Amino acid sequence: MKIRFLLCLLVLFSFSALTTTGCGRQSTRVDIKDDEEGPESSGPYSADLVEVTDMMVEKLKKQKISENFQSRYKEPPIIAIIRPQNDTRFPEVTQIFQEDLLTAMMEKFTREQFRFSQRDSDVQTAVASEKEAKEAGERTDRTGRKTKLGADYFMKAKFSTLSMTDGKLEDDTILYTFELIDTETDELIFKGGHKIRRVSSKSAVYR
Amino acid sequence: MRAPVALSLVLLLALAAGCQSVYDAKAAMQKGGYTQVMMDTQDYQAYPERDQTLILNYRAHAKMGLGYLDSARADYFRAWNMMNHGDGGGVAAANWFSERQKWWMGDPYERAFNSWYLGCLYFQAGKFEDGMACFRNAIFVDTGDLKQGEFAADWLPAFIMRMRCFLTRGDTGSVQMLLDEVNKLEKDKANFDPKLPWLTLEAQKDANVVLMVELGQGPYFTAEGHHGSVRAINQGEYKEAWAEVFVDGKSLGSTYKIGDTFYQAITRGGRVMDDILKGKAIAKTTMIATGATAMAVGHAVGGKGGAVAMGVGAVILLGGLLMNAEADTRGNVLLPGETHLMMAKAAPGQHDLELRYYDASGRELRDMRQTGLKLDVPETGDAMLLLRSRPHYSVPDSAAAKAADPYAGLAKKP
Repeated sequence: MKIRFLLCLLVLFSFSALTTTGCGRQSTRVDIKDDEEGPESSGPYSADLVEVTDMMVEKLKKQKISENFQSRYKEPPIIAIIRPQNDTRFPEVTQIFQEDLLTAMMEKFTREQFRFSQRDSDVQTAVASEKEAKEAGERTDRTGRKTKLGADYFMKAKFSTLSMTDGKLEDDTILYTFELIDTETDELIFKGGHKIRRVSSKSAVYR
Repeated sequence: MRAPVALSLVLLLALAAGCQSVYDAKAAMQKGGYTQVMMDTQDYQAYPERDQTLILNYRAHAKMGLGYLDSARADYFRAWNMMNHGDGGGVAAANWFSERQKWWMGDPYERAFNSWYLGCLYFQAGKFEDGMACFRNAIFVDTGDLKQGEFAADWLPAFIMRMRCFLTRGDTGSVQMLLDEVNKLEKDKANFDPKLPWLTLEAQKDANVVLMVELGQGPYFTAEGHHGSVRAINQGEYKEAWAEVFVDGKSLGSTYKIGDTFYQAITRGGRVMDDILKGKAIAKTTMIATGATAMAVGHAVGGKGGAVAMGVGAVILLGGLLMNAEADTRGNVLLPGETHLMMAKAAPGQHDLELRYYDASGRELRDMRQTGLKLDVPETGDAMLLLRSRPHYSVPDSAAAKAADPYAGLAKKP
């Protein structure tokens, strides 16, 4: 009887050890808009990414950027993304917001409304080498088009922040803005902004 | 009788766990330099959770010192996330047992250094906007509650590199703004050299070579005073006082101090934990004295009442003995004592770079001389290097070397 009891204890102990140490670790799929899960920070959350992208697409629609351009040139504007500006204190933030907005724009607008020029340096190198091979007759050239897309508008992400701390709380208000700039005249055609403030607590006895 | 013995054993084990010393990076450096540290920390998750942020900073530093810049950047970023987005932990346990039960999150200067190194690695990889954010965070974490008159950021390296980032955007207005801020700081030579010649817009615009030269060993902590409850900050010992930079055999002059790690460590105010430790030390002494007195009285009285008094006294005595008031002495011991700066203008292309280090009396420390370095100056932008007197940082000579797997070809630690 005693041995059975001890065995039960051993099993229970092993189970609790497994669930509290690495062996029982698992990752959980969490809704992208869920603010409650994950570490507490005053930096950008995934929910902010969704919110900012949605707001920007809405603003672009509202301001009829494409329609206005087409009424003048009878063609959709061509947009190229340029280097973002990150004036927050959080690294590796601008790229995902920029990529998310670009993806959303390509999903929400047709090619008859906006066109995009892919300017990533690795893509530019690959395009140049492909064009060279076509011109040398090493590769077929179906379209006969020789010229790369010239941008009508540059799109630029600009994030800035108001950051404060008293040692117990960290308070960051991030202003997310996206600009469309006329590539000929440098006129600011569009500037959409969205502010999100987050405050996170730090344990007072931590230091 | 068995239950109290078992309880005592459990408590002693808990006490021992609390006192367990953290990885000795200094000893590892003496044994085998950055390679030893990198190998020891390969599986950083094998260390107690409370130490992992520190271990990860060590691993990143070792990789950076060996020239594995991409891998170092990934480690520093992981540590950055833990230090800036993490809540830490172990605070409740630290209130009774050792303060080392707390997750190490670093003092303000250690957090600033984490952001600083990460920023420099981004900058060297051409990711200027990410570098910019890191330098801003280095300034942010080095700032106290300004409304309460606490410390303001005064560690120049982050300001200087933030200026270099602004220049990559052509934003001279923001450079001037930062210069104004820096020029308002108290010119205290314990913090930086007041004669620093690059605190003007013209000097910043003119330069395209930025060398950050680290000298000596940074501060370290010891537990002193009543029950070791006082955390003392000690200055690292080193001879080197400045460096002379040669490009293609021609001297550019001496470096200027822009950051003093010991100064940063001692000017960041007291900790909340200091008061807790003080209280714990008093409580520990009181409990030991009370417990011993109760046991002595119980013994003298004898009988049933005496036995009860002895039992209660024993519990209080044991509690007092188990209470650990010792200050946490964990700290990043790989940090330098000082950060120096050399800025210059050089023609685009590759140049030979040499560094000579001198003590305070101007005598060269020949064993530290660093030769055979290559300085690649781009057509536009900066050539930026992080260098160190001892042990020297390796400067990778290609993108492939920067991106190499640090553990390729090395036997995994058993």
